[in-house]
Amino acid sequence: MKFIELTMPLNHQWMPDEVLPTSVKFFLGPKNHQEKGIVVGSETGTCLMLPSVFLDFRKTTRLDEVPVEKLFLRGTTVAAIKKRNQEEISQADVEKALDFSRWAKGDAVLIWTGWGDRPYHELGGGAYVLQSPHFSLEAAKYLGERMRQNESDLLLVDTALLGWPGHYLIPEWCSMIPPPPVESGEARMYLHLYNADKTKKDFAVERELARFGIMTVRKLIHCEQIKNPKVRIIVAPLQIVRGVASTCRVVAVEDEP
Amino acid sequence: MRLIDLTMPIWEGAGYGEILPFTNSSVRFLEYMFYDRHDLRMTRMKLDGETGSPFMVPHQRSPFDMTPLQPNPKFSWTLDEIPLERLILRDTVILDIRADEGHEIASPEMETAIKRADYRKGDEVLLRTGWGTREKAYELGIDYYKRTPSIHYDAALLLAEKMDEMGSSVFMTDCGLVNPPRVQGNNWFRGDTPLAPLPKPWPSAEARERVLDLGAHRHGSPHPSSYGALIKKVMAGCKCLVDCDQITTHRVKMIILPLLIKKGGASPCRFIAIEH
Repeated sequence: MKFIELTMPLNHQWMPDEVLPTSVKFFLGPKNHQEKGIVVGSETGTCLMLPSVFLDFRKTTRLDEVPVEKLFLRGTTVAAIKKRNQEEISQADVEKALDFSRWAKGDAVLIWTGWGDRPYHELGGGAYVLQSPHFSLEAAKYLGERMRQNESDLLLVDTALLGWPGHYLIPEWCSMIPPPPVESGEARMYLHLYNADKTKKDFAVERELARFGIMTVRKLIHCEQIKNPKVRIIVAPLQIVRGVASTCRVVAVEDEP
Repeated sequence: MRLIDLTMPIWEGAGYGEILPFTNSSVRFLEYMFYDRHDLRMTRMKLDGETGSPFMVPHQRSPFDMTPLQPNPKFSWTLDEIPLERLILRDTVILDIRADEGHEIASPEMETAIKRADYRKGDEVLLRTGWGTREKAYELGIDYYKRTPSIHYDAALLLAEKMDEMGSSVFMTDCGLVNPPRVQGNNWFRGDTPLAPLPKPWPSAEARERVLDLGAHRHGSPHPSSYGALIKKVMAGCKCLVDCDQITTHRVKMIILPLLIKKGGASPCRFIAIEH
């Protein structure tokens, strides 16, 4: 049996995903610091997002209610859709990858683009997020439908983003020069003005997957170490009461052939 | 195969973050995107290394202070250095010592539990008292920790020596505190001069004054630390597990997954028992 770490380490010196105002700065406070402890956001590092993140699905399962069998040692099919900087994952890409895989009913799906294998610590200027491959809305709809047919509700990806928040969030935020830090006054003001009409367009892919009841895990790293198209996956989020999203630890378990 | 979640949940104001002056600070959540305004929810979470069911290595204050809690510990891995093989599907023995509220487990009880258990070389150890349940933690608040059973120093020393001999590396328990409350909370919520009303933990003024009085972040009791005896001999100490009575066998396999904090020394952790 082989265990493969797929988790982005939480590094108090620098995290590659602290780019957009929707993120929180990971902070580790020493014992005599005013903020002694750990500060994380819903999306810090490798993270699990439940459908209940969205208003329309807020009555669905929360983090402390997810049955352990859905997250621990769950059978998972690995599907490769190799993508480079900013490339979109299309419906045809998903169709081809899923048709090629031997996807057992109820299995989770791990889509490996190769983005998480890149040396993200060498990517400057927010490139890990801003150049991430991502799903088109059509691909998300198609994937959601295929997952529903296959009784699957867990999707894992090695990209920083699921969809591309390109209607408002990225163009508006990135037009500010120099870019303000996350959790800055500018970020707070931006979020204050960033209303539901805007988020519905920017997070259309995420909402679409949520509509199918799919839990999503993103920002996996080192998926290239997985050699077997079939693994068991462990997703260990924080056990937050009534929580909807959390940083998590993800490990693949490969059984010996 | 049956999976059993033994993880203490995390919620704002949870008792474990309110009871001690330093070692565990308050859990605070700040919603910064809202259902009603943004159509979605995002939360900033202020936690602590000892939030929920924690996983704590001997160099608990790492990465900022590499001094171990006890001198010359057997293990010196930080969270990101622990091989996954030491965390996943670990053979674990259950040491059963039923303990009522406030009971300090004594060394004869520990000795008997060790003798009765099916303890094999290389096993991890789960000390089950029956105290820890989600419902109790939700209902009792800080009393869950004031009234928890705990381990007397002599019993901890005995267990530490046995774990060393058996090659065990992870100590887990469903006690709220490993040290007796009279030791851990001396002159904070117990002792000759407990503070009433109980102050907030660090960074409250009272916690800062306690550092001035004690000269360091210490529990301030003249009695030795039971946790100290254990952590000297193990890779990690883990407390506040819950619902261990759901385990029906004397041995399980455990999945133990703390957050992957680079050079981290302590973290909230998930504990899943697997019964075959």
